[in-house]
Amino acid sequence: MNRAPDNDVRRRGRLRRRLILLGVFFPVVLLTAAALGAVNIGVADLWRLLVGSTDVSEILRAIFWDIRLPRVLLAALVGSALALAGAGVQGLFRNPLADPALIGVSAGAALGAVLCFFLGWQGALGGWLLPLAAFAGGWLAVLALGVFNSGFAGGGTAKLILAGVALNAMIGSVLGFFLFSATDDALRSMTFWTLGSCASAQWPQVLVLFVFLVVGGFLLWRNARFLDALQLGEDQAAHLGVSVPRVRREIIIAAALLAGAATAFAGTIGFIGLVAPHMARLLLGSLHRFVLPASFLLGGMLLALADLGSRTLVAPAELAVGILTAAIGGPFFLWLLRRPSSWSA
Amino acid sequence: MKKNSPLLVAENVSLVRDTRSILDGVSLDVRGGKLLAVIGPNGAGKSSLLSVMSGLWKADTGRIMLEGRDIREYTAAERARRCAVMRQDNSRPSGMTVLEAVEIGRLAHGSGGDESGIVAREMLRRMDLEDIALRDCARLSGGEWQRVAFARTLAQVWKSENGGVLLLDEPVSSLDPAHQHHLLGSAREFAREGHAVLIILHDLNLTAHYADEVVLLAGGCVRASGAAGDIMRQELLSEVYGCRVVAVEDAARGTRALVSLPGPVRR
Repeated sequence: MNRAPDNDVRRRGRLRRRLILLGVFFPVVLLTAAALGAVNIGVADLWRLLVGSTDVSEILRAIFWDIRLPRVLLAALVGSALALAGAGVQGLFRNPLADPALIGVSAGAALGAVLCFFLGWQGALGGWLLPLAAFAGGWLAVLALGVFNSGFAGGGTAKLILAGVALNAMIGSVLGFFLFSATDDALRSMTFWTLGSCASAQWPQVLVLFVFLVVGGFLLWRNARFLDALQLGEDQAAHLGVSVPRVRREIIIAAALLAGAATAFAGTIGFIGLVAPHMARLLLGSLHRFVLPASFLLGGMLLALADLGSRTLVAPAELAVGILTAAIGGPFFLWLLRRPSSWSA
Repeated sequence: MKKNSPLLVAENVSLVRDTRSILDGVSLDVRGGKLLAVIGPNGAGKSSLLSVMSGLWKADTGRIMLEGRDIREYTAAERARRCAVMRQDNSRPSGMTVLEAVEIGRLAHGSGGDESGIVAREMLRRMDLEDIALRDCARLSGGEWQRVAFARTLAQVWKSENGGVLLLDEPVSSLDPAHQHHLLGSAREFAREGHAVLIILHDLNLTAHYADEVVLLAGGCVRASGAAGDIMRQELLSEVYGCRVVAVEDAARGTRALVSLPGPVRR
């Protein structure tokens, strides 16, 4: 009879070990991705680069520190941000098909970016106008949704989902208008942007995205236990002591910060925000103190690998990374779905 | 514990939704040490009363006092530490174990960890749920899930310094007879420890057996209230429910069972 508590201790130990294992894989995957490319870097050189040895050629150092590492880190942070945003939104809406795009942030960002291309301003402000416009567009869309839903509080969550669907459709039609009226060159740029790319990566972008990730991640983390309670339904969560309107507001703000910043730097990248949280749950159960960090790690690794593919598969040309996220993540996800869920008793 | 003192009080509560009167001047006390049953036909306003009494909805007139203070003045967490609610519409968290779902009951008590695990295990032991402690909530039967929800609700006000109030909305609707008795017996035991328990019930026989006091709601008004023996009478119940309610003597034990039978009410 007293087996259950022992088994529970064992189960939690197993979950913790899996999370630690993911945490170990994370830097390994990132370093591997940074070592591979047009010029491959061997393990010995990689070590010398990391410890700052002068035994490496100037060119290799420049490739690693100025090109590869910022790019791999940007890809990983974009993937992590999208996955975290997805985990928050799925937890809030209790809907397995929810992803950050549902709150309008991706469509709004696309509108901001497309407007930039339409006006030929994508190079303005040293290239920073494009991400700024995308981020602002994403936020405007979320704010519009919030105003419509009276501060996220009055309308309830079910209406918020439907309002998000309507908002997405409306922005989509405006987007369609710009695509339709654009010159061939602008159209090409717009299309590439909406397929996603980490090619613009430089250290400043990495740092900015990192700051957003810290803020958004913190907002989600402090609501992790409330997200657990929300899985019982909003009214029941309120009875358990959750201030539902406040939690809803903070989750949406966090998701908009994370997905907005990620989209601003890398364009619209689908699939990661939807699927990485599911992968996390299949491996680690449903408690958000496991789901959130695991989503962060899985999303980051997935996009770092997809970006590696986008740089190398058709080199010297580049594939859009959005093409590869689903191509790499899809089979892995199917494999996870087929496994019997080993954690349940 | 404050035995017999009113922990949760409804004072002349009215509720209107879309011009329809749902509750009209309802007053009742839920006292420490007592098990109070709220009964009444479908649509009488029982679940709405529970939503108002738990502080989830605001009453249009009147107020709810929890330990002498208006319930709307508490923060969500303060309220949750004193008053636990088991709703009918609990959705099941898939991928969460039974133990984890019960631990969520301790949410308002701080950072979780060891203490919530200890309380959750004690509740599972009380409700005979230890064997399924690690099962995925999505794989439970309706009755098992109802017992888990009850265990979580108990965990929420366990060892509450302030008496603690339980509000349960049809907690035995999916249970077999043995488990119905077990759950209601646990609820009564909990009341005897000084807590205040309000249960919405449909089963008249169970109400007659377990309730100390009964409030009979009909059409949003209190039709009758008082000691269970005074309210659970054939004539009154037959009239309010509009079907025959008869008492069957259990001579061997010297108790009575209330059963409903089809057919028109005999005057």
